[in-house]
Amino acid sequence: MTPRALLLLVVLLTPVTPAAPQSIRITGTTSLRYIELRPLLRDSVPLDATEGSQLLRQLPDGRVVRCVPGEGYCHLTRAGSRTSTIPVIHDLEASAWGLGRGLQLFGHVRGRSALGGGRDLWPRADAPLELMALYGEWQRERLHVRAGRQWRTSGLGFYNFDGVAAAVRATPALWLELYGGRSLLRGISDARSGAALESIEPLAPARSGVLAGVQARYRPNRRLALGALYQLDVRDDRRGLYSELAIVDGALAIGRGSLESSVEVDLAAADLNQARLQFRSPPLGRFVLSAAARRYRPYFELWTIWGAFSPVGFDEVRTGLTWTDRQGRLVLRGDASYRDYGSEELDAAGAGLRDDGWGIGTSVNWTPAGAWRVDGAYRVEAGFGAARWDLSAGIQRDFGDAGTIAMQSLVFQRLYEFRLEEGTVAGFGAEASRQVNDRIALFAGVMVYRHLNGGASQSIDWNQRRASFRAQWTVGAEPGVSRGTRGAR
Amino acid sequence: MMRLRSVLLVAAFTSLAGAGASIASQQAPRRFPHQQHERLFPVCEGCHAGVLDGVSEERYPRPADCAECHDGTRKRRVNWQPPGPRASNLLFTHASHREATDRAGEVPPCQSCHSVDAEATRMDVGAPQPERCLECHAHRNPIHLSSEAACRQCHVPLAGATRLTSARIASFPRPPWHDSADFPFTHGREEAPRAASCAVCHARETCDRCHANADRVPLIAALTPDARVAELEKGRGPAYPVPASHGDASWTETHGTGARSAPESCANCHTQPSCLGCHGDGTGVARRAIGALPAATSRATGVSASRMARTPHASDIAERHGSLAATGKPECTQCHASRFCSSCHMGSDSRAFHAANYVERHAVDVFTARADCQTCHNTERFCRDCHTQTGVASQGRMNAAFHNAQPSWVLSHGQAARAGLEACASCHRQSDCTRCHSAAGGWGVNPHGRDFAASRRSARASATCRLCHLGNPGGGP
Repeated sequence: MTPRALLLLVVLLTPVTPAAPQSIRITGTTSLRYIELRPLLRDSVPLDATEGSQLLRQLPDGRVVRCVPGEGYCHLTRAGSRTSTIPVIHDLEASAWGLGRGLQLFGHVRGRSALGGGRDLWPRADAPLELMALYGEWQRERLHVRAGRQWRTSGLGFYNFDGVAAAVRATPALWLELYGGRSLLRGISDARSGAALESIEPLAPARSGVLAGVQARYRPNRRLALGALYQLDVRDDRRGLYSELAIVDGALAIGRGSLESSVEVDLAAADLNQARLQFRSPPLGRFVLSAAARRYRPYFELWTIWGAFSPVGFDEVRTGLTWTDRQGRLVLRGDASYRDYGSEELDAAGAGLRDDGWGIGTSVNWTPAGAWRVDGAYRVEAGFGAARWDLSAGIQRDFGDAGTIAMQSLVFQRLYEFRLEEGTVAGFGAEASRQVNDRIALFAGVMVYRHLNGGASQSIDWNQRRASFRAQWTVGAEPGVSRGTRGAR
Repeated sequence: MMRLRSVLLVAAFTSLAGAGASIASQQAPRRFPHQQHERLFPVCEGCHAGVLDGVSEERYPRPADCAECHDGTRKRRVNWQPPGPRASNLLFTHASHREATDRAGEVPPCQSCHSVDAEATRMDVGAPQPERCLECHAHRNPIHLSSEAACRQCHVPLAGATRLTSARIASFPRPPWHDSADFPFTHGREEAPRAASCAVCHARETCDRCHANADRVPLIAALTPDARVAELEKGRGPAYPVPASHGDASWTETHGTGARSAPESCANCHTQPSCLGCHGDGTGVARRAIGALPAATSRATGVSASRMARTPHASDIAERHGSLAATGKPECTQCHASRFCSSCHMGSDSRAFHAANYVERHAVDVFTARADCQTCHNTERFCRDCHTQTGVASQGRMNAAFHNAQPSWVLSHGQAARAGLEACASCHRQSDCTRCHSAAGGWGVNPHGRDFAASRRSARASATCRLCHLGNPGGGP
C-alpha cells in the first residue's frame, strides 16, 4: 500500500469517531509462524563416483543422479542446511458506520515482516505494507453499492479490483449485480503490469487490465436457486483480453437432499473449464449418499502462453456414504473417486505415464460427550503425477466460551513428482485457543515432524518443527449488539 | 504414674461429657413419648382438644399439666414445651377437615392419618404422609410427586407459604419426572391449571435463571417473585441443553423457517447475541426474527454466540459452497460478513484453511484439481515464490536434476506437461518453455494440440501470440 492510500484511509475514518451515533470497530490480528526446513540445492559429483552406465546413475548410498554425456560429472539435488523463518503478519481492519442511513466504510491494511534467517521463505515478504481493501458501502433494502478497492468471490474464484459494484434486487426472487474497475492481480493489491509479477515472470503483461462483470441470482422458490456470471478482463489499451469467463450454477433441493451443478466456460478459448454435477441424497435411515461427476480442464489467463500448450484435463466420478448414529455423536464417512484423462492428445505425447487415477478415503468423527471431539481420517490418492496416503487422528476438548485445546497426529507417505523418491513423514502436535474476553482471542499450535525413512539415500529432508501463534483483538462497537456481547465474525 | 494419669483424664472427660448430655436433655424440647403414656391417656382429645376445634391454645397440653405427675417426687421433672406454629404449605386444616367429615357422617379416627403404619398401636403416632390422604381421597394419580399430580389441590403457592425458610424450600423433594431427558423442552407446555402446580415449589426467579424472555412468557409472569428462591438461585448459571432437532445435519439451513414463524419458541433459550454471532449485524432476512428475541440479561445470557458458531454447515460445505454461494442458497450474507470469504480466498496470509503440513502434502491435490488453488492464490506469484525459495523450482536449466524419473526428461516431458501444466507453471517461467517452443527465438517445437483454436485466441490476445511468433499467426494486427 502506498503512503497516499494509507493517508486516505485515515482521513476517511477520522471524522466518524467523535459523533455519538457514529461507530467504529477496529479488529487487529497478528499471526506468527515458525517454519523450519532444508531447501533443496543442486549439486554435482564426479562421474567416476557413480555406478551404472546410463543417463541416470546411482551413488553408493542409493541416490539417483543425472549424468550428461560428455561431462565429467553428474547432477543431483540434495537437502541444504537447515533454515528457519518467522513470518509475522499484521492485519488491521476498520469498519465505520452511522454516517448516514445504510452508509459505511471499510478498510483493511496488511503488514508483513519476518524474523530469522530465511526471511524470503514466506511468499510476499517483499511487500511490508499492503492496502487490501478500502471502500465505502451504501446499503438499502433493494440496492447495494460499493466503491473503492474491493474483492469479489464467485464461482470463478477470488478477484480484487479498484472500482464500483452495484447490486439491485429487481424482484424478491432476482438479484442483479454489475461491477467494474481496474483489475488487480488475484490476491495481490498490485496492477497486472506492476512489480509484483514482473519480478518473477519476465513475460508478465505490460498493460493494466479493466475488469467488468454482470451477475444474476434467481430464486424462484425455496427449492430452486440459479446463478449466472459473465466476466471480462480487458487490457487497458483495449488491444486484447486477459480473460473472458462465464459460469452458470444451480442448486435444487430434493426433499432433504440436494442436486447442485456448475458449468464454467472460458469463452476466449471456447473451452469448457469445469462442469460439475453433485447429488446428495435425503437421509436414508442413518445414511446419506452422495455422488458427483466432474469434467475438469485447466484454465490459464490469456496473457500467459500456457493455454496455447493445449492442456489436458480429466473426467471424474466420485461417490460417498455417510452414516450417523441416532444421537448424532458418531459420524462415519467413506468416499471413492476415479478420474480418467483419456485423451488422444495425451497418448500422442506419451511417455509411459498412467492416464487415470483413483482415490479412496474414510473418516470418523466422534463426540462422546459435549465437550470432547475425536477425529480420524485415512486417505489414499494415486494417479498421474503424484501419489499419497495419509492417516490422521486428533482429539479436542472444548471449554465453551473459554476456548479449546487439541492434540493431533498424522502419518503420510508421498511419491515425489516425477522423481524416483518417496518419503514417509510422521507428525505430532497440539494446539489451543483461548477467548480471553469478548474482545481478545488467542490461538497457538506446535507440530513436530519426523522424516521416517530419511537419511543419506534421501535428498529431501522433512524433519522439521513448526509453531504458530495468533492474537486477535477488537476495539469499538459491535453493530447491532449491545455492549459486552460477542460480535459478528 | 503414667497409667494413672491416663485413667484420670479419661474419667474427667467422661464426666464432663455426661454432664453436658444431661444438661442438654433438660433444656432441649423433646418429642413427646406417646407410647409410654398409652394407658394414661385413653383418647387423643384429652391433650389435643383444640386441634379439631381450631383453638390453637388447646392444640397441645400445657407444661403445667405434665408437672402434675412429673413433679420431681413421683416422677422426674421434664422440660417439655409444646411446639410453636408449624411452617407448612399445606391447604389442610384439622378444623376444616372435621367440618367436612362431620357433614359426610364419616369422622375418621386420628390414627387413620397419624399412625406410623398399618401395624401401629393407637399411640404409635407420627406426622402424616401424603400417601395416607390418598387412601380416602379419590385422586387421579396415586403417586404424590407424579407428573399428573395437581399440587394445588393440597398445597398453597410458595408465595403464600411465608413461614417456610429457604432451607426448607431447598429440601423440597424433586419429582423424578423433572429428571427426564425431555423435561427441559416440555416443561413450558403445561396448560394453565396444571402449570399452577409449578407455583407450589417455584417462583419467578427459578425461571429467570435461564429464560431471558421471562417477562414475555405468561406462565412465568404469573409466578410471584420470591426473595427466598432468589437466594437459592443466586450463583447458579443458566443451562441450555441442545434439542434433538438442532442436531439435524440440515438444521443450519432450515432453522430460519421456524425462527421466523415462531421466534418466541427460540426465545426460551436464545437472546439476540445468540444469532448475531453468525448473522452479522442482524440485517437482512433474519432481521425480524432476531428483533423478536430478547436482549441478554445479566443472569440469562441465552445460548452463547460462540457455541452457536460451532454448529456450522454440513462437513462437506468447503467443497460444496461454491454453487450454493453463487446461487444465493442459502444467502451467505445472512450469516457471514464479506470478510469471511476473503479470509480464506485472500490466499497466502489468511487463517488456516488447509490441513496440517499442507506444504508437504499439497502436490496430490494440485494434480487431482481437488483443491482449485487459483481461486485463492495467485499461482504465478505464490507458488513460484515458495518453490523457488525451497529449491524445488528450476528455472533456465535444460539438465534439471529434479525430475529423475525419466532418463531424458526434456525429451519425454510432453505427456506430463499436457496433463499437469498447472504444476509445471508453479515452478517454471514461461521463458523456460519458449527456449524450445518458440517460432521466434526458440527451436520451433510446436506445443499446440490438434484442436488448438489459434485464430480465436489470436483475435482475443494477439500480444500473447507474439511472444513466440514474429507476426500474428491468426492474421490479426
